[in-house]
Amino acid sequence: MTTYALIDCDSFFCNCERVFREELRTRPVIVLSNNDGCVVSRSREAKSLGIGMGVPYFQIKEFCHKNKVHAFSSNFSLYTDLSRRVMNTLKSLCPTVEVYSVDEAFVDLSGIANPHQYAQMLRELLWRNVRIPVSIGIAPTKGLCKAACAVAKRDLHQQGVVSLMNHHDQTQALKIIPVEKLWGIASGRAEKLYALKIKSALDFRDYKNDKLIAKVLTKVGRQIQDELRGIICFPLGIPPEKKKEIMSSRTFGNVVYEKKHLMESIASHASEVAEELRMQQSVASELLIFVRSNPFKEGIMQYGASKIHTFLSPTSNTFRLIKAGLNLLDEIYRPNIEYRKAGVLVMGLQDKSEHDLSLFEVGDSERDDALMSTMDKVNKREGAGALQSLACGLDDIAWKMNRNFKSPRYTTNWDEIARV
Amino acid sequence: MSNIEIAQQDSKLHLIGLAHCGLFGISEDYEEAYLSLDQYMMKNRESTFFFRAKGDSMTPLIMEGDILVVDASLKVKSNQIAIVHLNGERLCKRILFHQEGIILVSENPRHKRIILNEGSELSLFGVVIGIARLFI
Repeated sequence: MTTYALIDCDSFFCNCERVFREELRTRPVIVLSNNDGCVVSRSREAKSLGIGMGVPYFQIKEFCHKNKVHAFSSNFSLYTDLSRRVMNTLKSLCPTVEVYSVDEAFVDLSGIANPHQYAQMLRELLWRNVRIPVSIGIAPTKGLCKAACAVAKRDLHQQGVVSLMNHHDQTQALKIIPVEKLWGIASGRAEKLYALKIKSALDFRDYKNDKLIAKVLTKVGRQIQDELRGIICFPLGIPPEKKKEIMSSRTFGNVVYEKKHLMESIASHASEVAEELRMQQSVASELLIFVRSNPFKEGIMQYGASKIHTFLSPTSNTFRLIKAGLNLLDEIYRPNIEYRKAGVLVMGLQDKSEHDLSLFEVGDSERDDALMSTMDKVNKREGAGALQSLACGLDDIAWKMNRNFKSPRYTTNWDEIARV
Repeated sequence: MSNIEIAQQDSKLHLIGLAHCGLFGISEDYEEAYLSLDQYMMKNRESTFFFRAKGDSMTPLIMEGDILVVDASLKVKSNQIAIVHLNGERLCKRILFHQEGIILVSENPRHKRIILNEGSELSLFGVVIGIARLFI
């Protein structure tokens, strides 16, 4: 019988911070998004104080101070390193591992005599070796694994592992899960499901009119329903589809007026999307840039614009993308505007190996490709941004992010390792 | 074995030449990877963490600025050096399992030993399996 398990790290970013801050182990901790904007991770203690996911930090700053909530800026070098450690540990102990996100992985435990016990062993090992607490849900389908994990996180008596291998246990678990909390159900659809008297995950599983579900939730919703019934729609290990668009954008740490700073920002975002394009072996045929002021700020001149460049021969070359981006900026830049955000989006992605050649524009040459691949290798070894186009700027600059509460890169930089 | 070139002609095999390259026994067959300090100092890459030593409590064994190589997967045995958290504070000490309980010992005699009492909260982070130090 197919037995899948979902290993889901508890409050992952918060618990990464705690690896090197043991004194915070039982205290409320939150991690903020880029620019210290919103709450993106909450420890259990922070959740029980009522801090919501995605809440803007400035709204709860006072509250956090009063309740001794420790806030961190995001430290992605640390989270990525600890995530890699978690995933590699799993790969050494499970034959098939599908890394689902930075803090979640599905594994195949089919054929293991006592999956529950094995999962408990995995959980203890991840805690001991990497100091990351996880919850594990075991079930015959991914959809039920998600539900099992939700129960494991909610009910602490389960000691972090919940198995939903038989119909009775599945029924009991789905009864207590609200339908809008289910994997793959957009919260915007919940209203429509309530109208059909579907409130719990159990109501959803047992709803007889499949066609109506398909109509309300599209095909994916129907598949989720089947998964809850124990029918596999999403087998393990199928690699996710390549992205069809890639975006890089950021709100500036400070307001930006000068074209020079916008140029650096556009060049950096273009470099980022180029690197991501190469990682998934795609090339882009269109590049869009946008700039805008802060629409929420009153009494300033509002401006926003975007423009698209079309490549006759698609590309993933950093320099071509930067050049196109900067040309577009020339066209849409206006002086005397308080710019607050800029970004780059590439569209019309094709497989590099399959893309159409153009008669009218020279594509990426082998020499260019070799340069790009060398650049990627150096940046991977020496850290992001070690090698970049001069257009991205040198100094540490107006448009970069606010990160007032960032912890050291404990595991990826010799100068920042913890002291004892 | 050196390079042997074999040419096929008129379905007969002709041995064209036998070339010695360098010293006897030196060839690609014997080429191995460089000795890796990573491999030497890390038994388990995913559970190894580095810390930098601060203060003089473990001198002369561990000097200020040394890199401590810490394996979190190991269970500490008596008389080993470990990173522990005592009431939330991170310490590097020699751990003694004594009849009367656990004692944290500094190498430097000017630092007092810490005898755990009932109220103290101790947890192990990992065993210090070695140090790395550069002279220049």
